[in-house]
Amino acid sequence: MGNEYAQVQTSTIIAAIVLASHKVAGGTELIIEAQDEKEQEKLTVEISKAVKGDVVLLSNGIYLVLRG
Amino acid sequence: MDGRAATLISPEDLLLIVVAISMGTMARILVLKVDYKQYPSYPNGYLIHIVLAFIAASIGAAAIPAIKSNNYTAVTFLALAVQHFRDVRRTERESLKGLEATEYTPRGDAYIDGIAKTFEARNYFALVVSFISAVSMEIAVVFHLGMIVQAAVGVCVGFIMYRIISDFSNGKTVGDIAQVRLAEITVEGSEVLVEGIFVTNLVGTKSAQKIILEEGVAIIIEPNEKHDAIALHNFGQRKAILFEATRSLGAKRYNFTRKDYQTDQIIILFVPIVRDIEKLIHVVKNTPLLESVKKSHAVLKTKAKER
Repeated sequence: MGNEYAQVQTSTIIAAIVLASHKVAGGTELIIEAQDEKEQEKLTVEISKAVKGDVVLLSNGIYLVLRG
Repeated sequence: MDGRAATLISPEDLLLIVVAISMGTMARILVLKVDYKQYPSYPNGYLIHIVLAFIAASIGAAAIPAIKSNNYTAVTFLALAVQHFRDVRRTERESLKGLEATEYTPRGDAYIDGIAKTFEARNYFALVVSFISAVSMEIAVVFHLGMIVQAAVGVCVGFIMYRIISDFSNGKTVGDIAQVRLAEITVEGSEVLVEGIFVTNLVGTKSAQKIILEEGVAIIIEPNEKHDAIALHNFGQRKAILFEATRSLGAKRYNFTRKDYQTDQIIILFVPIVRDIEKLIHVVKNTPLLESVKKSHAVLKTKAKER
């Protein structure tokens, strides 16, 4: 369970920040491809600040910005 | 002028009404002070509830003189009062729900329901204390006791009634059924753990991990008995604990609760504005156990016998 904002926890994926090595199928979410890891992290922070979202780092290196 | 006053209300009845109203209102004021931690915590809230208590006490006090004057229909005022107090509960609920979006973390429906019910009950509190006080004074009149003695009887019986109802309505707190202690936070990769128990992975960035590690506080609530976990694991109860914790210390960012199914422990983690551990533990221990989640262990025991 994440932030206690509701009985039913519903988080929406706002964006996925990926690298060129990642293969991500298209969806309704925003997918941004960064040049390198440094830029990937910078973009993630910028987006999460803008939407006041939380960030999850997947084990394969993809950053997800979620909003509850 | 004196004769006219006597036909309207006798000195005994006047004394009875004044003492009973005073006792009822005082009883409400006393419980309002006891519950300083709970809503209301501002002057206007106090004023509203004291005025309501005065009205409730007036209804209780006027019932005996009304019956004495063969005005039995006046007792129906009590039914009106009940309706009115239900409206108080509804108003409280709506008011608190309206504030939900402005709090650090929401109180949750269960906590709001509990607070609203308490406020309704507290009005009955004033009514019952005032009514019993009035009855005792009327009995003193029957025994031809002096007016000072009548007043003394009213005050004493009113106070005893206040203590009885106060003890009866006093609920348990988290501290009564669980141990509360500070716990160590660790971050492994993008996972936040409290004493090895996973709490969240919503801290993917380095800045988030830094703030959690440097400024975050985590407490562990361990139920004393296995069955105490039933109440503590309830979502509404955990929301109430988190609400009290964040309201007392503020919340900069991040707030999580987690229940560990293996150890039955509850974890509360957040980044406070003011880091006062002693206060945090005190607040969590004193969070009321919600009426809606309270379970009687004795009732939960099955009556089916093993063969």
